Amino acid sequence: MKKNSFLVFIIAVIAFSSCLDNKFNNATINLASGYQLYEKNCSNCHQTDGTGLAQLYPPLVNSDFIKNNPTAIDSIIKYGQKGPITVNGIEYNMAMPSSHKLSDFEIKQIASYVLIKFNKLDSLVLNQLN
Amino acid sequence: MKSNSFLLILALLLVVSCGKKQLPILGERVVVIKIVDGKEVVDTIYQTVPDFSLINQDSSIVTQQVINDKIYIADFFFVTCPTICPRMKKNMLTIYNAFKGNSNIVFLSHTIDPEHDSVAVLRDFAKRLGVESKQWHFLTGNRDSIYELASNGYYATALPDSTEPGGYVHSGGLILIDKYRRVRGIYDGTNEKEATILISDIDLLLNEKK
Repeated sequence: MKKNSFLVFIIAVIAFSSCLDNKFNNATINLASGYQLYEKNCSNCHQTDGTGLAQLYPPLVNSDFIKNNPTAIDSIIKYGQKGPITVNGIEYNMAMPSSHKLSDFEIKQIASYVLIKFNKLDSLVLNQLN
Repeated sequence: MKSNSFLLILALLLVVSCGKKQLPILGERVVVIKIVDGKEVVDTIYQTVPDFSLINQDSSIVTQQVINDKIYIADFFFVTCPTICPRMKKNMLTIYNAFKGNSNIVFLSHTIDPEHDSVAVLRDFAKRLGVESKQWHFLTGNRDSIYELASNGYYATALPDSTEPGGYVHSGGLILIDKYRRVRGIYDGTNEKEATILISDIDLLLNEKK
Protein backbone atom coordinates (compact mmCIF):
# COMPACT_ATOMS: atom_id res chain seq x y z
CA MET A 1 0.00 0.00 0.00
CA LYS A 2 1.06 3.63 -0.28
CA LYS A 3 1.84 3.94 3.42
CA ASN A 4 4.01 0.84 3.39
CA SER A 5 5.96 1.83 0.30
CA PHE A 6 6.45 5.30 1.74
CA LEU A 7 7.79 3.75 4.93
CA VAL A 8 10.11 1.53 2.94
CA PHE A 9 11.22 4.61 1.01
CA ILE A 10 11.98 6.51 4.23
CA ILE A 11 13.91 3.55 5.64
CA ALA A 12 15.86 3.27 2.42
CA VAL A 13 16.74 6.97 2.50
CA ILE A 14 17.88 6.74 6.09
CA ALA A 15 19.88 3.60 5.41
CA PHE A 16 21.48 5.13 2.33
CA SER A 17 22.29 8.45 4.02
CA SER A 18 23.70 6.75 7.08
CA CYS A 19 25.88 4.80 4.72
CA LEU A 20 27.10 8.07 3.20
CA ASP A 21 27.49 9.54 6.68
CA ASN A 22 29.76 6.72 7.72
CA LYS A 23 32.10 7.36 4.82
CA PHE A 24 32.19 11.07 5.57
CA ASN A 25 32.45 10.42 9.30
CA ASN A 26 35.39 8.10 8.83
CA ALA A 27 37.32 10.79 6.95
CA THR A 28 36.50 13.45 9.56
CA ILE A 29 37.22 11.17 12.47
CA ASN A 30 40.60 10.34 11.06
CA LEU A 31 41.77 13.93 10.84
CA ALA A 32 40.22 14.92 14.14
CA SER A 33 41.66 11.85 15.87
CA GLY A 34 44.93 12.37 14.05
CA TYR A 35 45.07 15.92 15.38
CA GLN A 36 44.35 14.78 18.95
CA LEU A 37 46.91 11.99 18.78
CA TYR A 38 49.45 14.35 17.25
CA GLU A 39 48.87 16.95 19.97
CA LYS A 40 49.28 14.37 22.69
CA ASN A 41 52.26 12.47 21.33
CA CYS A 42 54.14 14.62 18.86
CA SER A 43 53.52 18.31 19.47
CA ASN A 44 55.85 18.61 22.44
CA CYS A 45 58.85 18.29 20.14
CA HIS A 46 57.48 19.07 16.69
CA GLN A 47 55.11 21.81 17.98
CA THR A 48 51.38 22.16 17.36
CA ASP A 49 52.04 23.95 14.08
CA GLY A 50 54.60 21.36 12.99
CA THR A 51 57.50 23.82 12.76
CA GLY A 52 59.86 21.88 15.03
CA LEU A 53 62.50 23.59 17.17
CA ALA A 54 65.72 25.21 15.96
CA GLN A 55 68.12 22.51 14.78
CA LEU A 56 66.94 20.10 17.43
CA TYR A 57 63.62 18.79 16.17
CA PRO A 58 62.85 18.92 12.45
CA PRO A 59 59.79 20.61 11.05
CA LEU A 60 57.01 18.44 9.70
CA VAL A 61 55.29 21.19 7.78
CA ASN A 62 56.35 21.52 4.12
CA SER A 63 59.02 18.92 4.70
CA ASP A 64 60.95 17.69 1.66
CA PHE A 65 61.84 14.55 3.61
CA ILE A 66 58.18 13.73 4.18
CA LYS A 67 57.20 14.56 0.61
CA ASN A 68 59.94 12.26 -0.68
CA ASN A 69 59.23 9.46 1.82
CA PRO A 70 55.49 9.55 2.56
CA THR A 71 55.27 5.83 3.28
CA ALA A 72 58.15 5.96 5.77
CA ILE A 73 56.21 8.06 8.28
CA ASP A 74 54.35 5.13 9.83
CA SER A 75 57.61 3.26 10.52
CA ILE A 76 59.36 6.31 11.90
CA ILE A 77 56.52 6.92 14.32
CA LYS A 78 56.38 3.26 15.32
CA TYR A 79 60.09 2.46 15.62
CA GLY A 80 61.63 5.86 16.20
CA GLN A 81 64.47 7.40 14.30
CA LYS A 82 68.22 7.50 14.96
CA GLY A 83 71.13 9.04 13.17
CA PRO A 84 71.41 12.13 11.00
CA ILE A 85 68.50 13.21 8.85
CA THR A 86 68.33 16.18 6.50
CA VAL A 87 65.10 18.13 6.22
CA ASN A 88 64.79 21.18 3.97
CA GLY A 89 68.57 21.46 3.79
CA ILE A 90 69.22 21.32 7.55
CA GLU A 91 70.77 18.34 9.30
CA TYR A 92 69.15 17.00 12.48
CA ASN A 93 70.54 14.30 14.72
CA MET A 94 68.43 13.89 17.84
CA ALA A 95 67.06 10.40 18.41
CA MET A 96 63.28 10.19 18.14
CA PRO A 97 61.73 7.70 20.58
CA SER A 98 59.57 4.81 19.36
CA SER A 99 55.85 4.71 20.10
CA HIS A 100 55.18 1.30 21.53
CA LYS A 101 52.03 2.57 23.22
CA LEU A 102 50.29 3.53 19.97
CA SER A 103 48.32 1.04 17.91
CA ASP A 104 49.02 0.67 14.20
CA PHE A 105 45.70 2.37 13.46
CA GLU A 106 46.55 5.32 15.71
CA ILE A 107 49.91 5.64 13.99
CA LYS A 108 48.16 5.66 10.63
CA GLN A 109 45.89 8.46 11.83
CA ILE A 110 48.86 10.55 12.96
CA ALA A 111 50.69 9.89 9.68
CA SER A 112 47.56 10.88 7.70
CA TYR A 113 47.27 14.05 9.73
CA VAL A 114 50.91 14.96 9.14
CA LEU A 115 50.67 14.21 5.42
CA ILE A 116 47.39 16.01 4.81
CA LYS A 117 47.57 18.89 7.27
CA PHE A 118 51.27 19.70 7.15
CA ASN A 119 52.21 18.61 3.65
CA LYS A 120 49.00 19.12 1.77
CA LEU A 121 49.04 15.59 0.37
CA ASP A 122 45.75 14.87 -1.29
CA SER A 123 43.64 12.32 0.57
CA LEU A 124 43.11 10.49 -2.73
CA VAL A 125 46.88 10.13 -3.10
CA LEU A 126 46.94 8.99 0.52
CA ASN A 127 44.44 6.25 -0.24
CA GLN A 128 46.57 5.12 -3.16
CA LEU A 129 49.62 4.96 -0.88
CA ASN A 130 47.65 2.86 1.60
CA MET B 1 32.16 70.22 49.99
CA LYS B 2 33.97 68.22 52.64
CA SER B 3 32.82 64.79 51.40
CA ASN B 4 33.83 65.65 47.82
CA SER B 5 37.41 66.54 48.72
CA PHE B 6 37.59 63.48 50.96
CA LEU B 7 36.57 61.29 48.05
CA LEU B 8 39.07 63.04 45.82
CA ILE B 9 41.90 62.39 48.29
CA LEU B 10 40.81 58.77 48.64
CA ALA B 11 40.80 58.38 44.86
CA LEU B 12 44.27 59.89 44.60
CA LEU B 13 45.58 57.60 47.30
CA LEU B 14 44.19 54.58 45.50
CA VAL B 15 45.79 55.63 42.23
CA VAL B 16 49.13 56.21 43.88
CA SER B 17 49.08 52.96 45.83
CA CYS B 18 48.22 51.04 42.66
CA GLY B 19 51.91 51.11 41.94
CA LYS B 20 54.06 48.80 39.84
CA LYS B 21 53.84 45.07 40.41
CA GLN B 22 56.41 43.83 42.89
CA LEU B 23 57.75 40.32 42.66
CA PRO B 24 57.64 38.31 45.88
CA ILE B 25 60.78 36.91 47.47
CA LEU B 26 60.30 33.19 47.82
CA GLY B 27 61.83 30.85 50.34
CA GLU B 28 62.66 30.92 54.00
CA ARG B 29 63.44 34.15 55.72
CA VAL B 30 64.73 35.13 59.11
CA VAL B 31 63.91 38.38 60.78
CA VAL B 32 66.79 39.78 62.80
CA ILE B 33 67.07 42.84 64.94
CA LYS B 34 70.29 44.75 64.56
CA ILE B 35 71.62 47.75 66.40
CA VAL B 36 72.55 50.47 63.94
CA ASP B 37 73.76 53.80 65.32
CA GLY B 38 72.36 52.88 68.71
CA LYS B 39 68.91 52.23 67.28
CA GLU B 40 67.17 48.91 66.82
CA VAL B 41 66.69 48.05 63.15
CA VAL B 42 64.63 45.15 61.90
CA ASP B 43 66.19 43.35 59.00
CA THR B 44 65.07 40.35 57.00
CA ILE B 45 67.58 37.82 55.79
CA TYR B 46 66.30 35.84 52.85
CA GLN B 47 67.23 32.38 51.74
CA THR B 48 69.63 32.46 48.80
CA VAL B 49 70.73 29.97 46.18
CA PRO B 50 73.78 28.11 47.51
CA ASP B 51 77.24 28.06 45.91
CA PHE B 52 77.78 25.51 43.17
CA SER B 53 80.53 24.14 40.95
CA LEU B 54 79.56 22.48 37.68
CA ILE B 55 80.87 22.17 34.11
CA ASN B 56 79.31 23.82 31.10
CA GLN B 57 79.14 22.87 27.42
CA ASP B 58 82.56 24.43 26.78
CA SER B 59 84.16 22.29 29.47
CA SER B 60 84.55 25.39 31.63
CA ILE B 61 84.03 25.15 35.35
CA VAL B 62 81.03 27.28 36.21
CA THR B 63 80.41 28.48 39.74
CA GLN B 64 78.23 31.08 41.39
CA GLN B 65 80.72 33.65 39.99
CA VAL B 66 78.96 33.46 36.65
CA ILE B 67 75.70 34.71 38.18
CA ASN B 68 77.31 37.25 40.47
CA ASP B 69 75.25 40.43 40.40
CA LYS B 70 73.11 39.07 37.59
CA ILE B 71 69.48 38.14 37.15
CA TYR B 72 69.20 34.59 35.95
CA ILE B 73 66.79 31.85 34.98
CA ALA B 74 67.46 28.27 36.07
CA ASP B 75 65.88 25.04 34.98
CA PHE B 76 66.44 21.30 35.20
CA PHE B 77 66.12 19.08 32.17
CA PHE B 78 67.77 16.26 30.29
CA VAL B 79 68.61 15.97 26.60
CA THR B 80 66.70 12.76 25.84
CA CYS B 81 63.54 13.95 27.59
CA PRO B 82 60.54 13.14 25.37
CA THR B 83 57.84 14.91 27.31
CA ILE B 84 58.12 18.36 28.88
CA CYS B 85 61.69 19.46 28.14
CA PRO B 86 61.20 20.29 24.45
CA ARG B 87 58.41 22.71 25.37
CA MET B 88 60.50 24.15 28.19
CA LYS B 89 63.42 24.68 25.86
CA LYS B 90 61.22 26.32 23.26
CA ASN B 91 59.82 28.76 25.80
CA MET B 92 63.23 29.37 27.29
CA LEU B 93 64.54 30.12 23.80
CA THR B 94 61.85 32.75 23.39
CA ILE B 95 62.93 34.32 26.67
CA TYR B 96 66.61 34.06 25.70
CA ASN B 97 65.95 35.82 22.40
CA ALA B 98 64.13 38.60 24.26
CA PHE B 99 67.27 39.30 26.31
CA LYS B 100 69.99 38.09 23.96
CA GLY B 101 73.17 40.05 24.44
CA ASN B 102 71.98 41.63 27.69
CA SER B 103 74.91 41.01 30.02
CA ASN B 104 72.65 41.34 33.08
CA ILE B 105 70.68 38.20 32.21
CA VAL B 106 72.05 34.65 32.33
CA PHE B 107 70.46 31.24 31.75
CA LEU B 108 71.50 28.08 33.62
CA SER B 109 70.13 24.77 32.39
CA HIS B 110 71.14 21.88 34.64
CA THR B 111 71.00 18.31 33.42
CA ILE B 112 69.45 15.76 35.74
CA ASP B 113 70.95 12.93 33.68
CA PRO B 114 74.68 13.72 33.89
CA GLU B 115 75.64 10.15 32.94
CA HIS B 116 74.17 10.60 29.47
CA ASP B 117 74.41 14.37 29.14
CA SER B 118 78.15 14.78 28.98
CA VAL B 119 79.88 18.01 27.99
CA ALA B 120 79.97 16.81 24.37
CA VAL B 121 76.25 16.01 24.35
CA LEU B 122 75.41 19.36 25.91
CA ARG B 123 77.66 21.21 23.48
CA ASP B 124 75.87 19.59 20.55
CA PHE B 125 72.50 20.36 22.11
CA ALA B 126 73.34 24.01 22.76
CA LYS B 127 74.77 24.41 19.27
CA ARG B 128 71.62 22.95 17.72
CA LEU B 129 69.45 25.18 19.86
CA GLY B 130 71.54 28.06 18.54
CA VAL B 131 72.60 29.77 21.76
CA GLU B 132 75.78 31.44 23.06
CA SER B 133 77.46 29.65 25.93
CA LYS B 134 78.46 32.98 27.52
CA GLN B 135 74.83 33.70 28.25
CA TRP B 136 73.23 30.27 28.38
CA HIS B 137 75.18 27.61 30.26
CA PHE B 138 74.25 23.95 29.98
CA LEU B 139 75.61 22.41 33.15
CA THR B 140 76.60 18.89 34.06
CA GLY B 141 78.55 17.46 36.97
CA ASN B 142 78.08 15.36 40.06
CA ARG B 143 74.59 13.87 40.13
CA ASP B 144 74.02 14.27 43.87
CA SER B 145 75.18 17.88 43.81
CA ILE B 146 72.79 18.70 41.01
CA TYR B 147 69.83 17.00 42.67
CA GLU B 148 70.56 18.70 45.98
CA LEU B 149 70.89 22.05 44.25
CA ALA B 150 67.56 21.45 42.55
CA SER B 151 65.59 20.73 45.69
CA ASN B 152 67.37 22.90 48.26
CA GLY B 153 68.34 25.81 46.09
CA TYR B 154 65.55 26.05 43.58
CA TYR B 155 62.57 24.14 45.00
CA ALA B 156 62.64 22.06 41.83
CA THR B 157 61.94 18.35 41.95
CA ALA B 158 63.99 15.92 39.93
CA LEU B 159 63.83 12.22 40.56
CA PRO B 160 64.73 9.11 38.59
CA ASP B 161 61.57 7.19 37.81
CA SER B 162 61.68 4.11 35.63
CA THR B 163 57.94 4.28 34.94
CA GLU B 164 58.17 7.78 33.51
CA PRO B 165 58.89 8.21 29.78
CA GLY B 166 62.56 9.14 29.58
CA GLY B 167 63.25 7.74 33.03
CA TYR B 168 63.03 10.94 35.07
CA VAL B 169 60.23 12.94 36.56
CA HIS B 170 60.87 16.60 37.06
CA SER B 171 58.90 19.71 37.65
CA GLY B 172 59.41 21.67 34.44
CA GLY B 173 59.68 24.93 36.29
CA LEU B 174 61.62 27.97 35.14
CA ILE B 175 63.03 29.65 38.21
CA LEU B 176 63.73 33.37 38.27
CA ILE B 177 66.51 34.55 40.55
CA ASP B 178 67.49 38.13 41.27
CA LYS B 179 71.02 39.50 41.55
CA TYR B 180 71.04 38.82 45.29
CA ARG B 181 70.50 35.11 44.62
CA ARG B 182 66.94 35.18 45.93
CA VAL B 183 64.24 33.19 44.13
CA ARG B 184 61.62 35.63 42.88
CA GLY B 185 59.35 33.39 40.88
CA ILE B 186 58.69 29.91 39.56
CA TYR B 187 57.00 29.60 36.19
CA ASP B 188 55.57 26.63 34.32
CA GLY B 189 58.10 26.14 31.53
CA THR B 190 55.62 24.27 29.37
CA ASN B 191 53.18 27.15 29.33
CA GLU B 192 53.69 29.90 26.73
CA LYS B 193 51.62 32.42 28.68
CA GLU B 194 53.78 31.96 31.77
CA ALA B 195 56.86 32.44 29.63
CA THR B 196 55.46 35.79 28.51
CA ILE B 197 54.81 36.76 32.15
CA LEU B 198 58.36 35.71 32.98
CA ILE B 199 59.70 38.08 30.32
CA SER B 200 57.85 41.03 31.84
CA ASP B 201 58.89 39.96 35.33
CA ILE B 202 62.53 39.97 34.22
CA ASP B 203 61.98 43.55 33.05
CA LEU B 204 60.57 44.35 36.49
CA LEU B 205 63.65 42.95 38.17
CA LEU B 206 65.95 44.85 35.82
CA ASN B 207 64.32 48.05 36.99
CA GLU B 208 64.05 47.11 40.64
CA LYS B 209 65.95 49.01 43.27
CA LYS B 210 66.87 47.08 46.42
